[in-house]
Amino acid sequence: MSPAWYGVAVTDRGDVQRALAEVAALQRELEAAYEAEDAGRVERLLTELSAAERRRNRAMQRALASGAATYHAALPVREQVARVLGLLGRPTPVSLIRDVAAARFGDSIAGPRLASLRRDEHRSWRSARESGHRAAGRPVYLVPALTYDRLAPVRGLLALSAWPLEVRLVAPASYRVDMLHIVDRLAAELADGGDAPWTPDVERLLWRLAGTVPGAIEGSTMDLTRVRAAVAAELAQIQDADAAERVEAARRGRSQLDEEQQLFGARLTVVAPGRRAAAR
Amino acid sequence: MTRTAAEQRLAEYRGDCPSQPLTARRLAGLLDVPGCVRRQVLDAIGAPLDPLAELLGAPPGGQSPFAIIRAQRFEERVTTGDMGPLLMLLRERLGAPVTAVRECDLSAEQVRTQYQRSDDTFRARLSEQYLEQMLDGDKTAVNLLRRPVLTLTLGGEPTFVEPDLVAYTTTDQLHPVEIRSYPCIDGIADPGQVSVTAREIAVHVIAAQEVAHRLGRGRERVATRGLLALPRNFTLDATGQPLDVAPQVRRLRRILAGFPARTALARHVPEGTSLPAPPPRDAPEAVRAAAAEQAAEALGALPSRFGDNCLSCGLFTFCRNEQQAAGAVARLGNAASNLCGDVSTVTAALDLAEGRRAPTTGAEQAVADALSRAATALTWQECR
Repeated sequence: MSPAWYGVAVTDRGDVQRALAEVAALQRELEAAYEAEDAGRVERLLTELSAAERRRNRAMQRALASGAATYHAALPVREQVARVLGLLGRPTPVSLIRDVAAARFGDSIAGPRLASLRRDEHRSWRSARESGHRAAGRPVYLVPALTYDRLAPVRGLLALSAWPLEVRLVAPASYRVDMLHIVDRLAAELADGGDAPWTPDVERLLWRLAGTVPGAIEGSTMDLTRVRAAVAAELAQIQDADAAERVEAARRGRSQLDEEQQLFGARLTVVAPGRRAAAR
Repeated sequence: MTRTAAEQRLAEYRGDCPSQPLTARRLAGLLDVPGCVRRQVLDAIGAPLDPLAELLGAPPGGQSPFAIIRAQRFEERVTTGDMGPLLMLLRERLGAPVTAVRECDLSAEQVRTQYQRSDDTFRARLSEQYLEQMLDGDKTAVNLLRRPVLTLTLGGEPTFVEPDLVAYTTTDQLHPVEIRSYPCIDGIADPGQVSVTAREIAVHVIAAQEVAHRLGRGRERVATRGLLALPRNFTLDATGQPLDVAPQVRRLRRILAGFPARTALARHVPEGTSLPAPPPRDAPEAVRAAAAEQAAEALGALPSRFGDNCLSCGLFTFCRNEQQAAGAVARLGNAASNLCGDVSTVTAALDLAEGRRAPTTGAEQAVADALSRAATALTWQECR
């Protein structure tokens, strides 16, 4: 992989435009929240806005610098992962994060570096909170997805702390629902991307994932509209029941867990398994 | 012999040797060596066969590291996330509906992350609870259970087995799903490998049937028809075939039911011998030699039954050498030893054949006649 190619793959015009649009949208929201005198919302939007601004700055700098052959964008692993999760929008298994990072952004994430990520994030969140400064915290953390019944962390499934609890919780059918959403996002990304350098790699990945959706792929060419229609058809059958379970679990989570547990999961001790059913 | 005395005798015999739970593969191996007391005792105390065999001079066993990595990669590919490739296979081959996508992963790592403990007893309890919901036809029950732990009783003692997957489909039955990494080339997998897998699936089916029975649901709720997921050709894409293991289940049930109780087995175990803890491969030669001597003595003290099927047992090399040293006819294979009846050594058989010893019983007479006819035929053939 040549450095020049790498630079191009990291950022393109689409990324800058998207980052700009994100900042603008957040500013409008902030204005509305300020008008409505919603202090909690303003606080949250401010954090998100500063993160979005940083992302925009980075994207812009990188887009301008990408012409230079010597430019290397060595993003930290957490940023690489956060970028993938930002694209996919749903809790994602670690191996798929790695595949998408490689296909869409040209990042190769080494396995061992992902292993300690969750613990590092938790530690960083804690120390930021103990120091008491808002500025010490990161705008977004990588957190484990949580189980819907015990609200305990799921191994090998990562999410972003900015997502609502309903999305970060996984019920039994959520694995499939989330994967279908991810397929849809990748198909949308391909449709938007046009003829970007990463298109063939993402296409190959999508081909593999879409193969598990009935009717998504016929023959030897992939039709993105067809893929998205097939995904929507399968989602229609299963997502309502799944959403209901997740909303219910999130309601329970908000009432039972403190802020830290809502992000990193409850460390419950084992009780008799018979109580599980009672808890639902 | 009382139960306590038997337990004590077996524990003494096990000595420092670590005990490990029996795998489905080892339980399926019971089909090969029915009636071998040596193997039964080792199975009853859960002694590891391969380290012992290697200590006794068998070539190092185990799979190639490349095969293991490939197997892991294939399993990861089909089971991470939503187990998409398996869902597709279940829909195509077992007729599962699109809505059957409720999954739960009970593998040791996942359970440890969520519950901070992952011992077999605990996982077996969790699995049983999920299986009960599945058998109840509960709408909120999972219908794809990954790596549940099932309890199977062997000689009155519980052992744990771990199927890759148990799936539940509309046909009102639970189906076993097994993932293997040998390829299915042009739709055909190696029949030898498939038959080994079929026997392991049979172990899982029996275990699941027993769980269903214990929960008062009836054994027939667990189907003998399962799905075998294999890599297609030389890729890591999954393909699969339905596999009915009813004959294997029937045979294995008979063997398991006939497995002697621990009190009966303890009677064969002599006092004053015990197995050593297998020393590590890089231990000094003297340590390994001492351990090997102790192991040979302990194993040699148990009666064995040697035959053609022993090839798949870990102790094959040891038992074969033993038969060879004793000059037993069993070393020549089942056909020869069946022919020789109660004449058990090669020397005795040759003596009878060549008339150096007169037969004393009717059976010996028959053997002597057969052998001398064979010897004559052989001489004639050589003369021509």
